[in-house]
Amino acid sequence: MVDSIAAAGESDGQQRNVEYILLAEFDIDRGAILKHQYPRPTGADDSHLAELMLPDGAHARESDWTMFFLNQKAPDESGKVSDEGPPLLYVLNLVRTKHDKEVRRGAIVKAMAVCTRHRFIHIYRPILMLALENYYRAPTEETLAELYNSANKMDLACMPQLSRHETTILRFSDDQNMFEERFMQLESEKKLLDSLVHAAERLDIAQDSTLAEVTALASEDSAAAAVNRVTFSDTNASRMRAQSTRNKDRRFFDTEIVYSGVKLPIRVPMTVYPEEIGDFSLIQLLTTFGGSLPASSNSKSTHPHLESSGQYTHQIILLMNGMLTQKRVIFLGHGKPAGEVANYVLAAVALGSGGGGVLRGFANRAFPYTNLTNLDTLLSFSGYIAGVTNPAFEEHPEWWDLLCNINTGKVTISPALLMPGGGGSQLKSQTESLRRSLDSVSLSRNRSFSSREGKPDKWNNLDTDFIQDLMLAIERHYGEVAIRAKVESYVRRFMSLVPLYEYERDGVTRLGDSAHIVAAEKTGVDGYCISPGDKESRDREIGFYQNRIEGFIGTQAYDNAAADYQSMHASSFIRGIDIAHMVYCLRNSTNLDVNEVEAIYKHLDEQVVTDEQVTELLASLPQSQGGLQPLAYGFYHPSPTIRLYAVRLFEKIEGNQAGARYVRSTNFFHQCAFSNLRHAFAC
Amino acid sequence: MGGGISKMLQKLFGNKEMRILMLGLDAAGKTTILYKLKLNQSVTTIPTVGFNVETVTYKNVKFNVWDVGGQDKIRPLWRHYYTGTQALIFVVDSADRDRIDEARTELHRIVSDREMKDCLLLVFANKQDLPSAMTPAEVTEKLGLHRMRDRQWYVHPSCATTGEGLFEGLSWLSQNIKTP
Repeated sequence: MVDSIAAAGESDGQQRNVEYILLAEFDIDRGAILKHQYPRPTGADDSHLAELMLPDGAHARESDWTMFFLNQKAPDESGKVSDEGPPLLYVLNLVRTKHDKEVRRGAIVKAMAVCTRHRFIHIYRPILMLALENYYRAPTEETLAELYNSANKMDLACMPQLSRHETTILRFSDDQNMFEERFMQLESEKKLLDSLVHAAERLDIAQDSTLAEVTALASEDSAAAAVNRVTFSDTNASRMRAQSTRNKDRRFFDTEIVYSGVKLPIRVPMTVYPEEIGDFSLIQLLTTFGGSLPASSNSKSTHPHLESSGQYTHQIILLMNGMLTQKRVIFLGHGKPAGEVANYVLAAVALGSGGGGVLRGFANRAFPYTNLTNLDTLLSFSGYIAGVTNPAFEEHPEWWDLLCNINTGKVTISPALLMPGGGGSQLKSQTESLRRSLDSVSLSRNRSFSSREGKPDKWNNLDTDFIQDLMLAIERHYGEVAIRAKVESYVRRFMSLVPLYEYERDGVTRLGDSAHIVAAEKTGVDGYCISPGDKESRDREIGFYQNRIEGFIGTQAYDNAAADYQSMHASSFIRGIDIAHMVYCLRNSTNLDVNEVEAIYKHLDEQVVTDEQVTELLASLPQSQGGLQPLAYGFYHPSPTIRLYAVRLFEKIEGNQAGARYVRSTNFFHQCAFSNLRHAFAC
Repeated sequence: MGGGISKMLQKLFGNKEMRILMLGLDAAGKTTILYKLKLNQSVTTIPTVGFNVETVTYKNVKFNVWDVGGQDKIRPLWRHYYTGTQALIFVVDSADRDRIDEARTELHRIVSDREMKDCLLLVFANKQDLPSAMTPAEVTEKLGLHRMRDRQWYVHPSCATTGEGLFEGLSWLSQNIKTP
């Protein structure tokens, strides 16, 4: 998914690390002005950029970081967002206020920003600090140029490009060297290339020398020697590398930036998901807003998209609903540094997109730091996620649907949204979709579909488990990756319901294979539901999340998911089965009968054939959650058919580079079972 | 419910809350006034990027004062702060004769906004300590305040660094505030 975005930006044939460097300052007579743009103007409005670079309250603190994005695409009249145009650029900005008695009004405020396509934007933090300091000393465009050139000389050539599924595998792997071979390959290629260039240079020098004729023979000799040395040093180096990489963490790529004589070591994270930007903390978001009791709205009416469990909806679920149904969400941190507020926005993007890895399109409507100058742009988006420090936003509920106050930990639903009939033309689309969903609520009550009567009650609530699990994990000091993984599987689970719901409602779906869902109607066994009992429980889930699904359909994230499904369909990825659901059943269901288990293994065996498909299967079996364990249980099943399927699956997995490591890392007992059965079936 | 009780107590003891917006051209002394009121200290201020907001309690009235940066380019943003404003404090640099016309234009633009039609207007003729400072009467004249009918306004001389005149201005506001 991301690869296609990156590729679109490579029209000039060269992928640069950094696209632009910006410099803004606060002119005491004129306000924020953009002083320089290097190497050329970004195309965005100058004063707008300057305002975003000089955040509210910059005068009150020594320094602050802000973040914002360029090339965000506002939805057109039909509410659609086109995929064309320049790629999204991430901007990291450092602002500094220096008090100086000598100058008029006592201070100089300057800000410098790096615009890049890299989502791991935080790697530029050290160099930006040095460069802004240099600019205070030498306020010229050359200072910007030096930063630009240094950053673009950072060598990422040996960084393997992992696919979406490979990223997932590495991310949750216990084995730091999961894709070691890929690194080695690139490194040795580069070594060879370097030494060849080196040898060629020597040849040139020799030929240019005045004694060319005399040394002709000698130079041939030296060239040959150089080539010899290449091969020699290469083998030598690879031997040394084999030793040195043993302790290397391949979830990061180590490189460096040389800036004005200083070598800055840089660690590029290899396991970043498409919607993970910067080094935010999801845990911080969850603890800030997970603690306080649900905001008791005085109003009797509840919003169907947002308050999925009525008045008792947990604040995190409120936020999750707001993200998934594309509401206008504001994070307000009055008196907080803009950089801190920005981190909440980026964490919310990760929350809605499923740890950054399930859905995409949130970053396009995220404004990690913004202020009143950007209000018109903000309101041109039907849904946005924005970070502000100005409490004036709180006083204008017509600008937002959900307001998350970082200082109080409260999430507030806009009173304008809860008012019957909505509030004015601005909310027209909102209220329309609301009405539509209300209609469908009453519609569904008549159907077999939603078994529950009226609103979901306080305790019997599918989301309660999720929140409790999340909070317990945080209490036990689980890391960011583990917490994001929980969010990821929650959103993935939600996404597995959408095609079923769509099919039930409209007879077609853009997110799944209708042909396979039809099969379910007849036999109750197919790629989406493995048994009639399973179908019943899935229907219950759909009933519970119906409003959220309704609100989700038609959002930007939904459109992107549909587009991704279609494009994956074209390439030979796993299709026709809901692999996440299959794995979920194997892992979590306690009372599967023989037919159900057989159905799962049969589907997996039929659908997982190519190397890419194996990679996809491995991605849904993260090592942090036991890896191949759920599949390995098939070895001990009484049914020989299932045992055979399990062995065949394992054989396919073993043929995959990462898969072989997976097999090797499974429990010894499972490995024995595998090799025994393999021999038994071979005979 | 807790809110209800405290509201009742407020009524009993005459506690009032007042939302105040403080505007003016850049370098008029808005931030210095704000922090003199808040901390009763003369702080050295630097140009405000964005805004400052502080709560100042004086004579049982809680003044919620918004101080917004005054540079030319950011003045269009002032309107976003109008909603709910009960009083406008407009700060004038009395020694800056060159820009008094500019100040007049801005002031009239603010008060002509629909959302500001009911708010009180207090003008601080600031920087009275400077030798060439205009008198309050001169400021009143130059700002064209006499032409403002249907509005309660008051001009008071002040010196933000010493604090002279500031609390007198607040007194006028607390006496004239309309309790909703």
